[in-house]
Amino acid sequence: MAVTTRHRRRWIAAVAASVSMAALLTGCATQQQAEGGTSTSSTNSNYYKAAVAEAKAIANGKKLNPSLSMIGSNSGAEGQTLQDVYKAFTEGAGVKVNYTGSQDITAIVQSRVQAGDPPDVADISAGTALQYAKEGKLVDLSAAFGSELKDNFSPSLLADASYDGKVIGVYQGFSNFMLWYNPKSYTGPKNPTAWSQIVDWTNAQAAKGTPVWCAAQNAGPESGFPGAQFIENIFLKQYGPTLYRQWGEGQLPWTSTQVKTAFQEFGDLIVNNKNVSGGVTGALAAPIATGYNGLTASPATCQATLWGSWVPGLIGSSAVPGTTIDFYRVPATDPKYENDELFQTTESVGFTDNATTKAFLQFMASTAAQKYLASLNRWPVANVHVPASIYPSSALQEIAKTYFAGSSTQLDVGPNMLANAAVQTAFFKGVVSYMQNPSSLDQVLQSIQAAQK
Amino acid sequence: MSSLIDNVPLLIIVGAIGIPILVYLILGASDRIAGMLPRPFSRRVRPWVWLFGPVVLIALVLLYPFVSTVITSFMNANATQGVGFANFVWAFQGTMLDVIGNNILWLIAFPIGTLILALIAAVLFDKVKYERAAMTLVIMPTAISFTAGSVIWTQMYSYQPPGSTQIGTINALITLIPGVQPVPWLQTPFVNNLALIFIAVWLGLGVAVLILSAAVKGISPELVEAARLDGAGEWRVFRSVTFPSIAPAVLVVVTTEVIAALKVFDIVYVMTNGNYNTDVIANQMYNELFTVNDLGKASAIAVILLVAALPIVFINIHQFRAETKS
Repeated sequence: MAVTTRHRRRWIAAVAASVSMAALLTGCATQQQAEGGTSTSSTNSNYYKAAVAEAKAIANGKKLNPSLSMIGSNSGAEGQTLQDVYKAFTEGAGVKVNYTGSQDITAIVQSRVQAGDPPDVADISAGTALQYAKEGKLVDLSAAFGSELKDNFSPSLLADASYDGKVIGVYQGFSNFMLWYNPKSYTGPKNPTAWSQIVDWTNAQAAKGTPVWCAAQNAGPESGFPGAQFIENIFLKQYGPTLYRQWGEGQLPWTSTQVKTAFQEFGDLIVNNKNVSGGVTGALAAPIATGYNGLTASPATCQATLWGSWVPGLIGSSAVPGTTIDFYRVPATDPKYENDELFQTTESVGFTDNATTKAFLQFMASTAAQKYLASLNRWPVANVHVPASIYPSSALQEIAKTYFAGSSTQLDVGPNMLANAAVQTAFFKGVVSYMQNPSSLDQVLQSIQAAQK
Repeated sequence: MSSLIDNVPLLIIVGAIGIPILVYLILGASDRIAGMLPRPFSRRVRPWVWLFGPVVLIALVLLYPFVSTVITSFMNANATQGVGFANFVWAFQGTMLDVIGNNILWLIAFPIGTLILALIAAVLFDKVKYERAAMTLVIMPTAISFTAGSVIWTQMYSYQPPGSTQIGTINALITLIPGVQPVPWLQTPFVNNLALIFIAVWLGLGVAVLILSAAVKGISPELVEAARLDGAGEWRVFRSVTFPSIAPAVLVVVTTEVIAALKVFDIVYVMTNGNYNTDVIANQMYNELFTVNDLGKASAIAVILLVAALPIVFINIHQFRAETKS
């Protein structure tokens, strides 16, 4: 009996130790994942209270449903930031927002629309939104609160979110693209004026055995999209906004010389084991949530990355603006296009034409809600009444001043905003295939062109 | 209506209690009415009264979608115009050939891998005292959905470049061996397909072991004893007595896994979405249906999968009938 009792105690101790170890490891993993967020949510802030008051004013006199369903592409820390804003709507208007974030949003929304059960609101790409607008499935927001939209957003951005003269979508977080670097480890040109300076620097560092780029591509079903955005930046800065838009609208074929050249320039820089941290395979395998941490790691495993304004948020607390992370605008190949910038955002569209959906979208477009979102330090916002000083982060303040307040910046649209779901998917998969096998470029471009209908 | 859908307790009451009560009432009332008819007539009508509901359900859930899918497979993307066999021709050319090639690899490696491991587990576990604990360990992954299993193994296979800290369990373990470099399991051609197949084996092994274990326990001990008395070793006993005796169960396992290999989707979609030459036909069907929005091609793939699975279904039915007769 004593032996059995001792044996049982040892077994219990072993199990307890295993459980503790598992809990510790889980905690570490959660910590690592949580480091992607720098949001500073506070329901006590004045911005939150103003957003609640705005929601109350919008809901006043309207009979709204107790809840609405929303699907977006942001999950994790980014999804939480958006839900913090939606809390203000819930508190002010009494409508619970059932938000689901998934990287697989295109397929999820498509399957629900096909099943006749679309979500009330979906945060989707402009190209996909246009597709639904052509099918007559989206709510006309101009009719609902058109004058507010005109007050709060620039005409060109409203035009990009419109179909047949009607605004169909509302912008939330807005992202631009820039070249991020760590001032402590960066050896490249500061504020270069030509893309060739970046290429020369990359080659010089590679000759010394130092890969300088972080270029993680693994994003689950949407793997390859960071590379796609890299290629679009190269294209815009070389060929300008007119050809860029034509490319996005399908008028410029994917098999054209210009598109092929953009792919090849991306390939020369990134599809090269000597230039990218971890090699090309490492870049393909690295998840985007952690694959850029090398920029601010100690020691840093890369010196630069060309990607969106969300990079510091993904890296987490080790990305200290001005100290371990800073940016400059992507230099142009053709100086004519140095002020042309592409941007990345999604549009929140309404599928169900009712008072609740319209009230929610009106709230999202309102200055109060956009100020609160800006104060949460995740993304810049496009609302013209949101001053740069509102952002807690100096990086976001700088981004807002550079890309929004600065009159010289021209925001352009191309495939990342205009292409439909099939072309975007083919583009992302094409980038992965190209990175795996650069000699397959022609075949890759043909397969993307085949997806363009 | 939306408040009804959001009310989970109400939905549970309707689904778990309301629907069974409704079915019971309908069947009871129908049976009463049939009972009121003249005797010979009521005896003939009564079975059809009971069968009516299930037949309607099968017609709605199976027959109608089947017919609709076959018709749509001969139509264009919007299912507005006929295109003949164009969709089927598309399904057997170009990049689809690589996709079909991957499915053929799944059709070979997945059933064979599962069968071999299940046979080993079923035969050996039968001989040890800790059979229950061993069986529990093998069966546990069966409780995990394919999607959840894929998420787990995505982390297990995670790759960091050589010299970096490996956060994937497998690479963390193998790099403990001096001189061994981490392996990009999901990015290396052919290896990645085997890595995905292994996950399916891990998830499906439990059910296969259960089936084969029950069959092994059903072998007459006298047969085995007789073979041993004749001087047969363990391998000869397995080959000549055990395996032939459990052949029907082996056939069930193989045919089940072949059908699973034909329709594998979750693992590929979650882990690679068909990238790195891992695409399979079911993933391609999902892509055509929900991304490209081509109903014709998606339906053609569904019909091809059905036709490919039919021989397996017939083999199973034939086997069940043969067992019933014997």
